[in-house]
Amino acid sequence: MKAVGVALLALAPLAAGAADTVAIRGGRIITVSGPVIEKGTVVVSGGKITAVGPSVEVPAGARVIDATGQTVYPGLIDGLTTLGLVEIGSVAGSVDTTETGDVNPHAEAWIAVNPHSELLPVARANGITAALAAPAGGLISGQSALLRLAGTTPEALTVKTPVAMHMVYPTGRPVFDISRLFEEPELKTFEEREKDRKRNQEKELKRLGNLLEEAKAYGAARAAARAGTIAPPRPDLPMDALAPVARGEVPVVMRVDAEEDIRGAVRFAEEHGLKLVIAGGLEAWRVADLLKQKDVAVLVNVDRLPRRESDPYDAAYANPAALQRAGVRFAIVSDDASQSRNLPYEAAMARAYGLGADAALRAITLSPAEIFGVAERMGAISPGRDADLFVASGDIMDPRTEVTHVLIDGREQPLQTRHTHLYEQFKNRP
Amino acid sequence: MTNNGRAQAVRRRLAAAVVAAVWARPDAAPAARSEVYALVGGRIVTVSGPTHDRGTLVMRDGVIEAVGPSAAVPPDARVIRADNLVLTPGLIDGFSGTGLPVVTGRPSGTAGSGAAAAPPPSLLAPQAMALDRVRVADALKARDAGITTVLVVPREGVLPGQSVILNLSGDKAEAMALKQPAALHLHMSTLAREYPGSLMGTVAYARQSLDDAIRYRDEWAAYERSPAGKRRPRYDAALAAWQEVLAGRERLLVTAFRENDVRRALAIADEFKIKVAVAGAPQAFRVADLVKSRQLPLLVSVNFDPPRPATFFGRSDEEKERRDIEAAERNPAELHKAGVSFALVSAYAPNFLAGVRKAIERGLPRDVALRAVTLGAAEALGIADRTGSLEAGKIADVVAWSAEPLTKDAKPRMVFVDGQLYEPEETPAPSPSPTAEAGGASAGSGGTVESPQLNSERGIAARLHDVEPRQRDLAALGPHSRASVTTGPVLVAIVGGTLLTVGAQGTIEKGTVLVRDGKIAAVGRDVEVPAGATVIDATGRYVMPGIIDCHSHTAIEENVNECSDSVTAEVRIADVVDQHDVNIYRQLGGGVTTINVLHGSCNTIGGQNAVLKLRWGKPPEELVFKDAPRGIKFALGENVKRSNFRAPGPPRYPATRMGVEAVLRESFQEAQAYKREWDEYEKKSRAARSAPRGREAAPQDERRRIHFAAAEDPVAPRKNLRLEELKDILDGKVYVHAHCYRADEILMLIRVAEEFGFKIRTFQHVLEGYKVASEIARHGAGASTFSDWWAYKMEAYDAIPYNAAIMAAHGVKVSMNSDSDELARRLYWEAAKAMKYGGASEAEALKMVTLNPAWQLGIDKRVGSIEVGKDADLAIFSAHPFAPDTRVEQTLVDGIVYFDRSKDVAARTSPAKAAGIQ
Repeated sequence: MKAVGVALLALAPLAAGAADTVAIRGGRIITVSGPVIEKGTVVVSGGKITAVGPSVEVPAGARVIDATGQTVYPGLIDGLTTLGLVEIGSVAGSVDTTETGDVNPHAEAWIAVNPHSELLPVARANGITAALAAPAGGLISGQSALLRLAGTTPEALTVKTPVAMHMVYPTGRPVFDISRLFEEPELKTFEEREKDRKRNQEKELKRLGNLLEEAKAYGAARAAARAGTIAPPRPDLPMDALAPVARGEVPVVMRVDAEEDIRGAVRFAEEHGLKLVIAGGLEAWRVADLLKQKDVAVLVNVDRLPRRESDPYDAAYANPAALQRAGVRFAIVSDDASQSRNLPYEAAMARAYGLGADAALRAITLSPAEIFGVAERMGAISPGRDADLFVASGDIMDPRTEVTHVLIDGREQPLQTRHTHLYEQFKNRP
Repeated sequence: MTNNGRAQAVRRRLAAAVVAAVWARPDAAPAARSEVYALVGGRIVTVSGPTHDRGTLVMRDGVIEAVGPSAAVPPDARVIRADNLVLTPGLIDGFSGTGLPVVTGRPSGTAGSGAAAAPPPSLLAPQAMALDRVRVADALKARDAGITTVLVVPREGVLPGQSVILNLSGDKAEAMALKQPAALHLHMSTLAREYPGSLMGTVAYARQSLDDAIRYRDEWAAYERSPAGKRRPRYDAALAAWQEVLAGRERLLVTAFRENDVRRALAIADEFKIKVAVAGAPQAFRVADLVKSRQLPLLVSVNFDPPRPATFFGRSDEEKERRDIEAAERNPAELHKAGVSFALVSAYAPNFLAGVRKAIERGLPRDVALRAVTLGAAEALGIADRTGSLEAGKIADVVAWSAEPLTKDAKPRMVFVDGQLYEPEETPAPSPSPTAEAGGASAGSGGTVESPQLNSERGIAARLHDVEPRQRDLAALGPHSRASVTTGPVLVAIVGGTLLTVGAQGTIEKGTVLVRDGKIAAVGRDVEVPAGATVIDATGRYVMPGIIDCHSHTAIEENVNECSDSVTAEVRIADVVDQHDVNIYRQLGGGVTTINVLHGSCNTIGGQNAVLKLRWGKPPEELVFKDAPRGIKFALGENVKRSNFRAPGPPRYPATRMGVEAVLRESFQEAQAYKREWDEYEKKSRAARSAPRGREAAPQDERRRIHFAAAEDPVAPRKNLRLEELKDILDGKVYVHAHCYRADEILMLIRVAEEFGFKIRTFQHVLEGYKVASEIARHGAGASTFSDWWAYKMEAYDAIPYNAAIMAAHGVKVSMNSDSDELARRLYWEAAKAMKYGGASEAEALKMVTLNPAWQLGIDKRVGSIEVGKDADLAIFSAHPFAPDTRVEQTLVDGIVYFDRSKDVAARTSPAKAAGIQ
């Protein structure tokens, strides 16, 4: 571990001894929070953006990045990933997304995040500067953390934790298990399967509801004990984690796709007083008005097939546009680790199918920052915000565009990755 | 067979049962006195002739003696008043599990239960007899529903053996047999952990079985002609069981679960010149014309919601499942409207009559339904000369109903089987499954799904389902109808767009593509548009060659893998093309026009590929790219080793990359031996053909005569379809598409291929190809890769997005593929990434999804660029295909517009429209 860390540092001289003040000069600045500056300068100092504008002076002693002919963007935020928790999907030893059992509210993503994962620099090299790392699976998967993709310790990476409690909305459908592919399948009629599904779903929802109510009581007992009215309850890790969720203080990110299930999740959240965010949301377009009415945000994954055969072929691509029209808050997310770098192209697909360029960019910058409560710090280029930004040769949603500079916390990051190293090693092999 | 005596001898030797109808006489029947019944005063529905409002029916010794309004009552008859009753022929369930033990889904769970006492079902045993497993007491219960005659077919397996027709009277199964064996069966089904574990495996298994049966016949025939000096052929019960079907004396009864199973049955019939009938066929109405023109006997299932395994992968689409069930319920009515005659059968439905009533509720006239469960069924089973109607001389199978038959109120009051009276229990035994009864009631839970709800949310695909069923396979397929351009000589001009030709003409601004009869007739800036041409205005748009995906699993029915063995070269994707896969349409929406549909990567040597053109709406055989060379899937590494999951049961070989190499080596050594065997046979056969023939020329000397006989007509070696394919690979007739990841295994395959003298056409995925790009180029293979997938498994950890560019720079023809129904829709951006990672030129990047995959599939003379003479497969984009705002507006295959976004959007209804999805 130590050796890996040293190697990383050796590769990243700028990260260690960067000049404190940097001026990015001459580029087209997409601020996201304000109008586009066709040609201007961004000054960063002490990890913060200190000045932005068409005629900002470059402070004396500042390191200058010439961005003439290029575009300056706020760092992209991938609002749902397993970055840092997964190295190689199929190698169990390198996967820390899913704890044993299906109720793990106390599992905290930031604890298991590997700052030295090869996947982090790969995402970063395409302009992803922050990502929500979230546990997955089960009924209650655990707590996510917002990471900035630079640093050598989990503490250095973690911007905010917990951001949310992640849950999987029970659909009542059988969970996929590859080993069952080889078994003699259990045969049931459609009507039987539908009955099973509804029964299982009700059962699971009841279980989840009971857990939340228990957590509420537990939280109340803790409060009462603090006030000295009762003896403190026996400590309980899962309940400790779940209590603020049950009080509606920590949001719940609920993975759910089908229209009927999204409606169910909204109902469930209302019944239990949860602050709900939808993840996945394949059929969110069918319930956009409801989501607007209940102010439920969506972490939407664009590059998917429609759920139903009868759906429009582009239902998933046009999903964000439909949410936008209805006024629903949403972020576009990769919902992956190794594919996180393709986040801008996902946004591009939503853009091609009705979202528009500005809204598409917002969905991978300021919108996730707002949903996660860090919009003061991240998601746009304006003075006072964290200096997480990058320079690109053109439109970042164009797959041909190259990223030339990435700054996180005001420090320029190396763009070398496992991939560029292998490229250099083999490109000229005879 | 030309010689009758020879044929008889063969039949004797093969012990192929000559089918004889058994006139079942109840064993317990008293010998002395005749049993005579006269049913007087009932309404008589004869089915074959007129219905008599009041009449008399006389039965004597198991046979109908007289029927009619004025039939005389014989003096020795027992007279039974049938006033207010309706007499019909006994119902025939022409495809059922009557009397067979129910085998539950999981064999492990049944141990020790009552079912375990029964002999296990035969899954692959054409010689197995259903008769041996019938439980008489269970079978007789069917009479409570007015059923007198049943075809008993074991439900489990693929070749479940031979069925029996039982007439339900007597105390022994043998005594009940009306026809034994009745038919040989093939279920278009699969086995769980053994071969065939996929639909394509099942078709391949049937094909091999028939080939083996032919050889078995010939081997015995040769032996019978002159046994002296020849090794005695082995008796084989399974192959012997095929002989009646092979000789055309009996039909192979194929159980169809899907629309295309009907086509598969007919394809087998054509290939082996045998006769088939089809049972099940819940979507038969979609192939009504085919059924009619081929005069295919059809036993249509009323088991509209049969038990099935659950679907995984989150692919649950309850709406579609409901729609399919509704379509199955309409199937009998639609078939009738189309003029097809058929039998209605339970196909294991727990409540046969409830299913029949549902079919009536969905529009099948009741008299037609009645015929379909009496005379129609008898006709389909070939026993209409003895049963199925109320006619003098026929078997006395008669039911007296309390009300009009096949109505909800109709209860069987008396059931005569073989002229023996049985009085059903007052309340028929409750059906084993509560859902079955619900299915029969219009107000039941099964009936809550109303079509208006579905209609309100129909997208393109749903619209297709709403189209008149018989039109489904024809031109008028919703908004992207090609009717307008298919009439007459097709002349299409695409004008005003920027043409990315990917050919010698490069990029042409404001160019015109002229299409005549599906081919590109002219390309350029100054092409004159002839009068009468259909003009597509592409002003401001970009036109590129249709995208070709060199790695797809789209449109495969059922399993993508035949995983039961690591070498399954005999299975063919072409046997299982699903033309209704909506992903075909979705991919047209991404500009894709041709896909290389591959077997999965479970096996070292998988199945044969099918190159398809996305001619959405056409039957499967018309999707096949006619001139594409044959191809096969190989796979190396983790998937073949099955290292990323634990499959139950004994481990499968190979489990290491050493083993993968050994499997390849062993397979091709075997193929070489097979090739030698056939070469020798062909040499002998040629020699025999040139030798003098006929009795006069036969040498007198005994020893020489024996020798001559042996040489006269050598029996061909066994045709092994697996080795046949490997032999063709050795002969260079088959393109090898090899799934691989690591550099070392790529080199391994090159080594093995070169040692055995064949070529790899493409390395698929080939994510470490950049490490051995020169070696791939030297071998002459192409590489079909992902743009930037990585780290999803160990062998993908060294995958880099520069792979395509490095390989291309080393002279390898590179394509970007999808291996995914979703990614396939945005391959244009995958190509663009080759410019970002490694600096490929735009021209080079465009080739990666057009001309290069065309070359890899051996179809580059036909497709892959916009050049005169090529197929007019084109994608029209709203902007440059690599730009972030771009979208496919129209996609043409053979000059026909199969996808038109504006029409698609215009045809949308709520909620898509309400959500503004456009």
